[in-house]
Amino acid sequence: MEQIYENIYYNDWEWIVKLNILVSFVLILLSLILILFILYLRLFKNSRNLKKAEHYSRLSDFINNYLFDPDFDETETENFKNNFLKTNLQKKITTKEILIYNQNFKGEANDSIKKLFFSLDLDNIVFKDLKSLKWHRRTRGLYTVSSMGIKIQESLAVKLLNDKRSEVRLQALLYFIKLSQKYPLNFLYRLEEPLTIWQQVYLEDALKKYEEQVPDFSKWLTHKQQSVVIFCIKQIAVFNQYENIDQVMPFLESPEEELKRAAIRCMRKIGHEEAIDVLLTNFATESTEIKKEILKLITQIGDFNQLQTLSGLLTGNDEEMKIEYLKAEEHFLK
Amino acid sequence: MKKRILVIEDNPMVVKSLEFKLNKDGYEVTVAPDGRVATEILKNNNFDLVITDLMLPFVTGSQLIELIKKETPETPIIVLSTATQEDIIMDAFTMGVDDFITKPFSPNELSLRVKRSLSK
Repeated sequence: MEQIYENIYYNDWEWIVKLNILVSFVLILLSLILILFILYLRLFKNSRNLKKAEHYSRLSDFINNYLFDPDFDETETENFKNNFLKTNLQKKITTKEILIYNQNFKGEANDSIKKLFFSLDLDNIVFKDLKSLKWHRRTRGLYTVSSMGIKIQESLAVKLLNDKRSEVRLQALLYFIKLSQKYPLNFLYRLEEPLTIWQQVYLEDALKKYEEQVPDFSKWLTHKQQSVVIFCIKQIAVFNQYENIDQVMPFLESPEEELKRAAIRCMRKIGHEEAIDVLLTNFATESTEIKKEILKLITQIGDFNQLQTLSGLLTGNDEEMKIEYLKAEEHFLK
Repeated sequence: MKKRILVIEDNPMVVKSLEFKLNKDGYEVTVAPDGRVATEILKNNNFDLVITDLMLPFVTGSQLIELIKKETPETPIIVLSTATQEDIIMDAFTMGVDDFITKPFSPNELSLRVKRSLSK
């Protein structure tokens, strides 16, 4: 019996040792592969950084010579293009650097830097980016054409405007605003995707910097995308387009809460008192959020009598509304 | 003898271009990438003109202007900044700067303004 047990034990032990050796070997091999991979990554990164630094330095000298040296020879541009714009990395760095020059310089230097961009055929690279399957390349391409003021095919721009990635769509919106000289928001007619809050913020900011006359936002109050309509109602308030109040008024009775809220806020900003009477008619059936908006509206542009028509709130069960009512009352009694 | 200009700016592209352009115009250019380095350089050197940004790391452009106006009030200062707000521009002139150029800027215009400031 003992002999049998020993044999089993010995055989098991032998099996375990073999397994141990195998596992150890595999682990050592994996560790070595990992170490070699890390070393390769490090070397690759160092070499890439070195190449980057070298190209930056060469590029900076070339651009400064191009811009400021009166003895600059045009053949140098051709030489640079043939010798130092071979790899994707070189092309990417050059485009990025030219964009920085473009942002920092104005006048003659800015015109020259734009000319250089085309002389180096960087526009071809950007057009490839715009048609790329990778979303970040499409975004980068759009950013470049917007910054350099390059017009692209209308059909391509519209396709990017309705891209599946919101990042691409945002850059496309900014492209349209920047490059449309007379009608910066006409792209909205062709927008099929909703406007995200983030995009709305960017658009508003771009419109505030827009130097020409801001468009009439009422043109898009019938847009099929609710987000576009909300954006336009907000902008009517931001840009004080009093002439469009009549077109915003129907939204005070909209079954869509977001639209109604945007319209109330627009009335508050513009100071259109007639809106209060419309809203008081259906006050009882409104949601708590809308009721709060109406109370804010009365507080800011209404009078104490209008508030008192809602005094029934004090006897109701909604504690939140009671507090809101009392706050509004306090405002008038101060 | 070449006129000496100190350029205090943290944007490497702007620094390189200014250095190149001003060298081409015949000036001797010293560069400081931040306010702290600029303070050290100013302790041991005199310059005919200082071009400075307002938003700088460590020591701000306004602090540097105060320092320069205290130590060498006759040194002309040109501010090169992205700031366009009227109050910032007014404050800079109140502190005694000679000129204020906003970015994006025209290098040729800057060159002319440098020449004008140095000839005063």
